[in-house]
Amino acid sequence: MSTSEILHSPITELSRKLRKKECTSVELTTAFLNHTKKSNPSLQSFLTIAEESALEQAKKADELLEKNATTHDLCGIPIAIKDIICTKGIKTTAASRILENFVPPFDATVVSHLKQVGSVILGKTNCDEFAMGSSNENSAFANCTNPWNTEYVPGGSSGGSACAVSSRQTPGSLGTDTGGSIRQPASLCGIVGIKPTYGRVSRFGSMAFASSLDQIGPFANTVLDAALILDVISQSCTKDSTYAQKPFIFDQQQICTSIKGKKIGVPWKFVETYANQEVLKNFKDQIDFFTKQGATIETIELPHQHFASACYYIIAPAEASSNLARYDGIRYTLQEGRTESLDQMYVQSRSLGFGEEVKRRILLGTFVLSAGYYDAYYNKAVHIRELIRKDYQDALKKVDAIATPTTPTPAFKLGAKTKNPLEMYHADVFTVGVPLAGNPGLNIPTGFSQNNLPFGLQLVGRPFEEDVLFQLGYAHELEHKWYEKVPTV
Amino acid sequence: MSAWTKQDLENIAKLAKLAIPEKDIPARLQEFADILKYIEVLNQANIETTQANTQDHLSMYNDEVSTSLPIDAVLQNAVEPESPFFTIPAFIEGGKS
Repeated sequence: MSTSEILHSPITELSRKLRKKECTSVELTTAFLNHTKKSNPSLQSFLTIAEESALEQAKKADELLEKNATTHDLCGIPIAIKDIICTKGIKTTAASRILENFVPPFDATVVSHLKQVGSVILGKTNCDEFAMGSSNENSAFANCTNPWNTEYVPGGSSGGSACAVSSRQTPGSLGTDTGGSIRQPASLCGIVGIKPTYGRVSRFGSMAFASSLDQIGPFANTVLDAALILDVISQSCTKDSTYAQKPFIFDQQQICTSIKGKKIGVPWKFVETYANQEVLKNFKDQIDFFTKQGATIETIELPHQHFASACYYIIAPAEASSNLARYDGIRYTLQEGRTESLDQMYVQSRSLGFGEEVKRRILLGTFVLSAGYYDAYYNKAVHIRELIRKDYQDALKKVDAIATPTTPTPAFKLGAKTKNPLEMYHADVFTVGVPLAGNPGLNIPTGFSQNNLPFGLQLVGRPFEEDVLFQLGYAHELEHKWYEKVPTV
Repeated sequence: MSAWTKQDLENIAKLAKLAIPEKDIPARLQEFADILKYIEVLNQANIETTQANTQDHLSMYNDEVSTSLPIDAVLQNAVEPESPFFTIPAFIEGGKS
């Protein structure tokens, strides 16, 4: 295979070629590493390129493939990992100064599963610090850019993982989604990304931001590739009590089944309130497509969705303020020891180590949990979360999936929203309710704006019915083949 | 609630173990005023008949002995490891020794 063929092939195709001995994992890995090293200065999608260990893993994968052993489809396939997910022996910083030199002594469960099937860990991708952000501009180390136009953001927080897949630095990657951090960057970079059902994938080894919302999920250029990765990372774990022990089983035949008769709900009022004109027009075209394919479109109501963003910005910071208390400058983080007291050492270490958005959310979370304000803010938000969850439950009794645009606008310019945190928070308006409810949400690419920036469609399903979302996404992909359009980097 | 004061902000920062430089306080107060105003939309929701969720699934596992990480691996990220411990600067009665 030529380098160009390697970089532009989906995982399913690379896997076939590996089995037919038309290429080796070392060749694939070398091609992706070389492309990454060349393009990373302008994209800044990788924080660490793990060249040496990746090539070692690729050699081992080739040995397995050579023996014709029964191997998984991901054997020998390079995958990049968001830098908030622990990788044994590879620096994992959460894009934060406070963990700038942290090298985990263990693998996250998802990484163990990938290694077990013979995948190759290419390196660690850039993100917003501790996954807090919607543009990747909160990384302490570099601004990742959008591969379709490097003056624009790739989305966040998993911006590096999305950019790396879109620019063909890797055929697949992992991200985490707390309020939209997989679906939103997938949309802004024009690729497939899925936030699985809460509990579908073990969170062990993923640095916690908001534990009741965080989920790890895959990015890929095609629906089948994303489904293949989900199959591997959702396998067993006994180290996360919120893991539901319901692995996703990849079933290509099911995913490729006709969608005739499927019911798709559209909350038109919600969509029309928040989507800009260009996004709305693109969204309507996708709905027309599904109608032509034999799906039924029904108007639905999600009456409490306009509370989702405010609810999220209470619950997520509250959990973050608690989770990030562990970074104290004592055991394994940046330490500012030149202080007069132990308390000052905590304060100085944390104040030097955390960036502005992380501090903002810790302060907000500490406030909503503090005596006198707990009931007025946190307690109210957890009750409203139930109304939001019920909105999805009720709607999904009538339909198989809910469709909205993934983002209210295409990608925005770097720096456009950094001075106004609230404006940045609005970028998550369509995605933020889904993790509050715990349902799965898939982004699929749906074309390009006048400025040549990608649009995305979000499909939300019932808990543990990712297969229905993949089925709908595949039907769309089969017709449109947006993965064939590749950014020039 | 009424607008945040400098004292409110300093109290929350103390609880959060964070320092806010004096020059940043006016901007922080404005940010928080804006965010809290935004969050006030939740006052419009009727939650009188809503129960907070207590049904989320949690898996119970058998309590089985397994291998722990080696101490040296655990200490590899400590600022000053001294196996089997890590050391920190000594602080005595509020003063550094």
